[in-house]
Amino acid sequence: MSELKEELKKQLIEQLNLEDFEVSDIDDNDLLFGDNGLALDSIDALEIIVLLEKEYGIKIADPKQGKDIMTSVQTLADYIESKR
Amino acid sequence: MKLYIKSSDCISAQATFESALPAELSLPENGGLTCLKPDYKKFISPKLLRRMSPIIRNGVTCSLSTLKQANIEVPDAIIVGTALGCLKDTASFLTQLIEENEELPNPTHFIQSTHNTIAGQLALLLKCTNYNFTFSQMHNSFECALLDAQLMLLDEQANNVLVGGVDELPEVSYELTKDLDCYKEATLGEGGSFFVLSTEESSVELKGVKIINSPDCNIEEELKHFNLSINDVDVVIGGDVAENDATYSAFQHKFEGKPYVWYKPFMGEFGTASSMALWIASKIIEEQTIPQCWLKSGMDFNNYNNVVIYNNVGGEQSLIVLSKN
Repeated sequence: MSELKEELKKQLIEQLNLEDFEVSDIDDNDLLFGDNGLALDSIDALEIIVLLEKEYGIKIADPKQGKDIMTSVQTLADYIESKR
Repeated sequence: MKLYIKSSDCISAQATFESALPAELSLPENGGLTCLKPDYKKFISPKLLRRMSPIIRNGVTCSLSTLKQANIEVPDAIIVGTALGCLKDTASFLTQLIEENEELPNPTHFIQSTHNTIAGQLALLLKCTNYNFTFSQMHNSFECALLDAQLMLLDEQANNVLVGGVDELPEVSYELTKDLDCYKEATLGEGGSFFVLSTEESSVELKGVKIINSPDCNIEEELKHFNLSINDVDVVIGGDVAENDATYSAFQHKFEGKPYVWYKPFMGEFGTASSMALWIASKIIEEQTIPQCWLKSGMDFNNYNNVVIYNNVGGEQSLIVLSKN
């Protein structure tokens, strides 16, 4: 699980061009969206959906689930694990 | 009605940003002339910056600096000329489509790949809902933008227009274009220059811009459109790409003895390179001096009233004339 979270952080930094971030700067429970975390936006949400499908073969079928799945690196990792 | 350049800035392969006309020039040993990177974070928040490719960063930063110098928060119009637009994002998007069999392209590259991304980003950043237009007419892209700005001001639809030209040279397009016949002798480059064109008086007057749609250029006749003769011209800025550029030899001969400025060997050849020439011309009029390194021939004589810019790339020709007010 910790390997998966490490991998996810690397992928988020690369895919979302988070230029000023290192893997160690992102805590597992940091909020991905909103001003108190990484402050990602709706285009980033699209990028994460593409990342999940491309890298892990997972489609978010119900858009309502998206908000809960993409809360943090921890929730993303939990969702990926549950689908494996 | 007279039109003036109220402020300007330029991002290029030389130290031109927030600067006077540099007195020293640097050249790469090989490859294209890519832009020196200013401190983008002074103008754009890191949150937005991370998603911007070089052309958007340069276009937006240069524009914001130009507006700041003119003390203008929201211009009456934003008009951008770009020959090839956001090439880096376009190349990334198309490469992904090919490599991934037209499945799951990343949205950012697609969203940012259109030519009007620079003008659009400026509108979003400035919350500017005024006229917003992007011209893409290859080597006359900047001239078309400038002509549109001029017409808007003369038609009293605006008082202050942000107008500029910008292009980028990512590695992928350098490799594809460096061997094309039309760029055979040229060093390819990239950059952006932006201007606030205004009806409010300043030291630099834009006499006009003319796109020449014929194979030849009779310079004496063309200058008559600006009520000038060859004798009235104090400085000429040519688009020569090399020492013996045959395209400009007859033109340069007409102005023998006058200071002849060239810039493409130091800033590079690209679709909107003539916007660099306009920035140089406005600096010459403001500063009334030309550093030796910019002179292809002639001497600096510290008294400049009329500056003529001539560009000709494969027959796409234009003239821009500036005067000291």
